Amino acid sequence: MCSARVSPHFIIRAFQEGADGVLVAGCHIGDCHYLKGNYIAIKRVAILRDLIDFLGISKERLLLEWIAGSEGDKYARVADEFTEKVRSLGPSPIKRIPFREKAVAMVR
Amino acid sequence: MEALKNKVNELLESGGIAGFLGLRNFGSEPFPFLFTRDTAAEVEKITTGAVRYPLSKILIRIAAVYPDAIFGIMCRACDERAIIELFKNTKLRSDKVITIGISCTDDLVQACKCENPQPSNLVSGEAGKKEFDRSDVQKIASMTLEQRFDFWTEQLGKCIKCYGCRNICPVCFCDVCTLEDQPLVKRGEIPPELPSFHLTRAYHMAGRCVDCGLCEEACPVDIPLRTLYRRVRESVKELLDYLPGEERDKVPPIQVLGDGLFEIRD
Repeated sequence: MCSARVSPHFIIRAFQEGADGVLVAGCHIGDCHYLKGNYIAIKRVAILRDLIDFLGISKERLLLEWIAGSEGDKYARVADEFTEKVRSLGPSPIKRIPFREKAVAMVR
Repeated sequence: MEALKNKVNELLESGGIAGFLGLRNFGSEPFPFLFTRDTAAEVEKITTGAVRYPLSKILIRIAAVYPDAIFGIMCRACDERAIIELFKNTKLRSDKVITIGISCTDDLVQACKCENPQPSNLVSGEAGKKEFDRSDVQKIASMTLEQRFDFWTEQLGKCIKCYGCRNICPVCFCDVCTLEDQPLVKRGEIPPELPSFHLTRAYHMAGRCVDCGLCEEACPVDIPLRTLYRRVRESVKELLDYLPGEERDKVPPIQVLGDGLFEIRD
């Protein structure tokens, strides 16, 4: 799937479901099959990183890397490094929101 | 006010505009009103009002019904910024809209902490002084991640999902709204999922928010929404060098795939 197809909603949804980190990988700039798909991907991710950081979710939990289809070794390395990075950051703060229980309790 | 009345009368009489969208006093309360040649007598009751109203949002609807007519619209500096973004998003046509600028009172400028209270085509009043203050953004940016998260969880947790922020937003114009998309936002859940509901809306403000602050004014539970969207506005300026509403000839960077080279930076 083209990295331009990675809607910010997908990333937001992943975090909401409790993902501790989200890695978006796309083809290198200039290598896009659709010519400019990755240009929009980088803009979206850059803005979203700033935004989640402002909301208290570390921007390091969202990573965009250019990994071509032939770069299997890079994919493995980036995934390893990012996993370690996210592990050092600990669980996502979204997991500790007690909002459902709180809201239900308020209604009762 | 006389200058505004004269200008509206002049434009209506000369046929320069088919109608003027402004505010008219009903009793002591100002309400939006479309002044046309048939209702020219009402121009006497025209007012600028002490409060703001997203007239551009109403104009989108009127312009959709009368695509060939030229309309005048009363606009403050923030309205003008919104109208510029609406031109770029093809919701209004720049050759079909005549903006008639009015100045804001000093009280209003101060209350809004307006970054630029001066509309370009000023017809009524004098241009106010800037009262820009971004201490709200700085205050939150200086907190630790954990403090920020707790702050926003508490604030956004107050949300009653009234959609007031979206409904009043002059640059929210989609026919189908993501925030009403069933797979993304569950119905009947209050507060909405934290923080995805507001994160989604904040993302949609990227490259669009003109920092008018109507969202925060409309919010019945006083969520500091303007601070959130202001940060998005600043991000877009920092990352992509685009300030919505200020740059008439620049293409919004989020709406094009783009050119030039991009490096991933931290």
